[in-house]
Amino acid sequence: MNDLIINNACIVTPAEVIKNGSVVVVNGKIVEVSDSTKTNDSPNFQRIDAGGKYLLPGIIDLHTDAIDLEICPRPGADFPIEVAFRELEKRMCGVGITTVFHSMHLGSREYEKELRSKYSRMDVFEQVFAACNKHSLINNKIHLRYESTGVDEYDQCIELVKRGYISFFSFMDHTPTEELLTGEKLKAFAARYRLSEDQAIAEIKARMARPGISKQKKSELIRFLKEKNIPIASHDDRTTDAVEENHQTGISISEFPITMEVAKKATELNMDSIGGAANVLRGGSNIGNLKVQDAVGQRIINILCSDYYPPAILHSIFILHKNNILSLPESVNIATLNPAKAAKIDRLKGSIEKGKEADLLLVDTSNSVPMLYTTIVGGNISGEYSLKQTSVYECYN
Amino acid sequence: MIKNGIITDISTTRSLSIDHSDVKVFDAHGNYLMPGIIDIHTDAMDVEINPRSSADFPINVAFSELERRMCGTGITTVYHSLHLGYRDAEFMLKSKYSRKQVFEEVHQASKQSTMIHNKIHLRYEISGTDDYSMCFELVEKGCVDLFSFMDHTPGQGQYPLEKFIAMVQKRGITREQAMAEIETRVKRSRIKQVQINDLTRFLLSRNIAIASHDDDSIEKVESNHANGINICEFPINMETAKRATDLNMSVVGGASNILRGGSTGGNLNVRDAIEQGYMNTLCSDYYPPAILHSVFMLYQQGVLSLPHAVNLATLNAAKAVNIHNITGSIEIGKVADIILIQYSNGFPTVLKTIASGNISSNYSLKQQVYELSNQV
Repeated sequence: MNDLIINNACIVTPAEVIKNGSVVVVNGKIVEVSDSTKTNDSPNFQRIDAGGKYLLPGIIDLHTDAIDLEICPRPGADFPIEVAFRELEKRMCGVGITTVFHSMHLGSREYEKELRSKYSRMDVFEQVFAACNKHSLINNKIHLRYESTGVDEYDQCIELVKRGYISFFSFMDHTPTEELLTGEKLKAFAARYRLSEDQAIAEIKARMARPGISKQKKSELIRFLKEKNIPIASHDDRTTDAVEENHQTGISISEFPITMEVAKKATELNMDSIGGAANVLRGGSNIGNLKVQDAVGQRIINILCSDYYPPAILHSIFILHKNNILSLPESVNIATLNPAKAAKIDRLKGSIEKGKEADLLLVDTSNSVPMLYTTIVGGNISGEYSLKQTSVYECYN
Repeated sequence: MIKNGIITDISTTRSLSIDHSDVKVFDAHGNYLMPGIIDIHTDAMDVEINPRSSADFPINVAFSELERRMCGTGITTVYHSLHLGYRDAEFMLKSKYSRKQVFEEVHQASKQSTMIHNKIHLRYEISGTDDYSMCFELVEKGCVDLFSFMDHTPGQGQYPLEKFIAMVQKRGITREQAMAEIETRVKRSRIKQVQINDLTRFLLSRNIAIASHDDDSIEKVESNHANGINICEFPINMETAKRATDLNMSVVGGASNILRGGSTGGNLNVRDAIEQGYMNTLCSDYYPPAILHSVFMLYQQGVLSLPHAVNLATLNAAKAVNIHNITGSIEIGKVADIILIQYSNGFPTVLKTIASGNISSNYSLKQQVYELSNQV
């Protein structure tokens, strides 16, 4: 099984678009990419006529907060973790994500407070990891987001990595700075948490006073992660100095740089620079930060992740192409090959090339929004979708 | 057997055969074939448009992504619940879209080619006095398929005063601030009873089913029933659910409550109400996958037989909104809204979702787990 012949597809490879092309998959791997129709009489092959639709590599999403929200869609309303996991991967499959790095926080009191979950963070990591390794629709991995004021959770980080749970690691530091204590920023903070300004100031100061892990501990952790070959990112970088420092300590990815200068600096240092696709789909940041479409156009963001809206990546690929920001192969690369490289899985994944795993999408763009018809993972047709015709029997005129 | 989207034959013998080549034949491999789920109350649309406060996405994108999710959870007919007149919900969303725009664009999207049947449930908060006339306008435009009256004023419904205070205090505000908030909300004007009656009459004349939300007393249910309201949505306690059942109303509970094993707000336990026969319809409320999981949980826990559990999510919901002549069960002559479920290890998985005879989604688990590293 998992042998496929896909004909009549508009194939997007890292460098070009092949019209009326074909792809042959044997045992879950791509064995041939061609610009002509392939025939094979063997009954082992499942045949797909793409009908001229785009054939893209499956999306690789390095950062999505969806899992915690699926487990706890409202504060205090926890659902069984395996139910949430299965339902979420089905959604991911339906938006073209074939490899997801579920981003799970550790050490963040604020995130924990917002969720008010009955599960401990260890419960969540353990159960999600167990679910990742059962039969699934897509490839599921864990991205550990470590808040550096989570001093008590430092040892857990090491433990989780030792157990082999972690495929991607990021350092976060949401400690507020002085500027939050006055003016519009203070007002916005107070409104968000429905606090009076005095209460808001007290809360901000309490957060500022929290100790973080020492530089030495941080470098030890980084060394340990590098030994294990786990990619390391830094979150919400605010200044070029911070990026330079990260780079020196061995961090290779800048996740959600706050300004163009920061993104530019990371790119100059040959780091990967990740932006949220939600920002592209919405046409900008909802909190006034960098505009991802512009940064992508200037080649200072080279990877898109879904952040908090899983469908955003697929839509962004076609928006960036339609707005003439990138060629189609380039806009596909920022959602597939580039994240594969950052996560060190590009030997097997991230593009439609001979020898790689057959993680493929069939997408039609003739309507106002792109329509995903088929999601293939390792040669398995994990999800197929179609629109119904409105018939005379349609009861809902 | 399905022709042109309509069920034309059902057989208890092993297989039906057909000599036409244009008929798609599939083997269900002994999995459960059940009617597609009808969800008459889900708040998912506004969350899909605005997953975070002030982060709006294009409505047509949100619509198509949400119906795809719904399809994957076995829902073939959804009544997207959209609020109107509800200032507190609007405040939370901080959306750039007006409510009218949301109604109109969702309605427009539902008329395009879709995966499932999409309908609109207008949830009207009765303190939205400025939006009263818009209710009529939206109904006239054909944008409304189900209507409900809501009253979230603290002190009744799901928010007895102390509970409201406790809830807002969790956000870190003081008791005094909570009291001030209550005063503001209680002081808001509401539409008059005569206006409720006029609107109810108008809706009934258009054949639109009407629900009342969060009923907390027998008196409220009786007065609703006398006014022509036929659905009691999320009754707060058992007496209220019982009274509505006695009056032959549809009584709707949230499936999330079953999947979670109780209410987050400490209200009625839906499983108990179903067991006692005082609740006959399930909706997804705020978690779309909950309905299917709940159906199988009720069956597995011995609360109901499988057909009865399935009815809660299909035929009974269809009856509540008066579409049971066309869908809601696998019967000859009905529209082929059907789902194929694999039930193993206590866990239902939706394989196929068929709407009007179209296989709108089809899922299959992959066999291998690939090692995801360049190190291999």
